[in-house]
Amino acid sequence: MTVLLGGTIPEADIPALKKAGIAEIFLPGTSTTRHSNFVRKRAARKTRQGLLNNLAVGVAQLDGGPVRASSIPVQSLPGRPRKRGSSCSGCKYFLATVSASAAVTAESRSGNFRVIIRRKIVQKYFRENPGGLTAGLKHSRQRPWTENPLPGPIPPRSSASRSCGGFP
Amino acid sequence: MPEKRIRVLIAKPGLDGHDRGAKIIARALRDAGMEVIYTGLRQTPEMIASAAAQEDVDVIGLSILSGAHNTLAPQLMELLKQKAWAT
Repeated sequence: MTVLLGGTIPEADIPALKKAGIAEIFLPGTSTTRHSNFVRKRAARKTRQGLLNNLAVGVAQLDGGPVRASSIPVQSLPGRPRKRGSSCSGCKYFLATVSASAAVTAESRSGNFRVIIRRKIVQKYFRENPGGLTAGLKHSRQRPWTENPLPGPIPPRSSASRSCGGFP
Repeated sequence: MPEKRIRVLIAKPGLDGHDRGAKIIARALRDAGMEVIYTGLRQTPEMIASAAAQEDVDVIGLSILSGAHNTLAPQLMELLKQKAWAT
């Protein structure tokens, strides 16, 4: 959660508050547009971060060393279990990949994101937990992860698959 | 799928009773299309942390005009950190 602070705050106190973890401090006279812009920007970033953290949590129980990282397209990913049964539209469509040691790397590209999954760990997780990552989560409107099962091992790239199909 | 609306908790920790600014911010954020929850006056950091968890908000906005920000803000951050909600 991002925490913002507004009020009669002496400027001298700002560095300490930011150090404590306050994201931004708004002094008297700040335009309300600045608040809403800041919140919007920040919340977008946070949603991405939260999803990544959840993935890391979901897979963190697994052990195993690093495997070759590869990206796997996943249709939807679990978000936080939500008390109100609200939809989790933040998780629509991305390339997602997970890593076991919670060392999830992510980059955001034009609204999509890409995380790195260690494929074998995830496959092992799905073997052991057929319900998928959403098994314990209450996501009423969300389709379970298992609907879009993880693809098998990546086929070795042959020269044929790289060719464009007979085009000279 | 509809775009997720940002949920904001506007909170007034501490003992000052000046919440006009907090209400203005709440209204501005609401007008900007967000879902805003206002806690009301005189909340403790514990109450705010629990409200934030129950409402599942993305952002908490604090309004402090009593001069107690150096105490209250770190207290809240500490609570959030304990529950690993701070970002």
